[in-house]
Amino acid sequence: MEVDPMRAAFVSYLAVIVSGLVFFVVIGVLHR
Amino acid sequence: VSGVRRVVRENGLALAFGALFLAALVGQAWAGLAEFNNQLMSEGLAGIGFWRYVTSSDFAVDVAENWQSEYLQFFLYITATVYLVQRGSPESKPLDQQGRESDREQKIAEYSVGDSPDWAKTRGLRLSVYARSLGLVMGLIFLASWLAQSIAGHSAYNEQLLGDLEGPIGWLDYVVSADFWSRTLQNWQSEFLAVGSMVVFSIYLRERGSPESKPVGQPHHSTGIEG
Repeated sequence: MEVDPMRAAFVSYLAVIVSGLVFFVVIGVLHR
Repeated sequence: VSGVRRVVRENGLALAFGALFLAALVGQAWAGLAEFNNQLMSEGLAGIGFWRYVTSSDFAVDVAENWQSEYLQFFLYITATVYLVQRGSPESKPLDQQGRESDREQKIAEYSVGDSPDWAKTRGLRLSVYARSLGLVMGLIFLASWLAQSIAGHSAYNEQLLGDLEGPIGWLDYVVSADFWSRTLQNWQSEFLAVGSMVVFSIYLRERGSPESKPVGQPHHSTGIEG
């Protein structure tokens, strides 16, 4: 299946942001 | 090989800024660890390792507070520029185009073209969501980052209080605390200054070839014309 680089860029950025946000919240909750 | 080179060239902005982000984040982690350990040693405590630091609430709050302000900046810029204009700035729309513009100008529904996004082709809920999706996503990331900042900042603040042999405070007390608002506003002020100066400087200054600038010879009073 052909990967569309523009779509890959969009999904990668979104994935980095969402996983970063989840990471911050998990760390914050775990250290409470 | 030429296919790969073409992909790299056509996605240069996304790749370059993604790489810069990762490099700066790693740099922040190393410098942050060194500073954190200096502080521990000055208090006569043992230092911690890299992994322990990047999974600490101190690191999380430092990253999250910068994220929220950047996404607030872009959210406000995207939505404010619909309604507010600045004479002479390439960042502004022409003075007579304030507002959300006509369906024809926006290529909506019966004015859509063959390659228009599917959600732009028919009226209804999907269109109203899609027509605001950039602002919505940037705004949601801002709110989520700000929430994450408050949660990680709350933990980091309580760790500090415990180190000083003081009792912890609740999250609701933290979000009205000086620590939370000092972290928040120190980031906001710099974003607002940078956006305001970009708008105003781009009236009189030029960057040849940049789409963020007017063409070098474009008059100062021209509004809404990009390189």
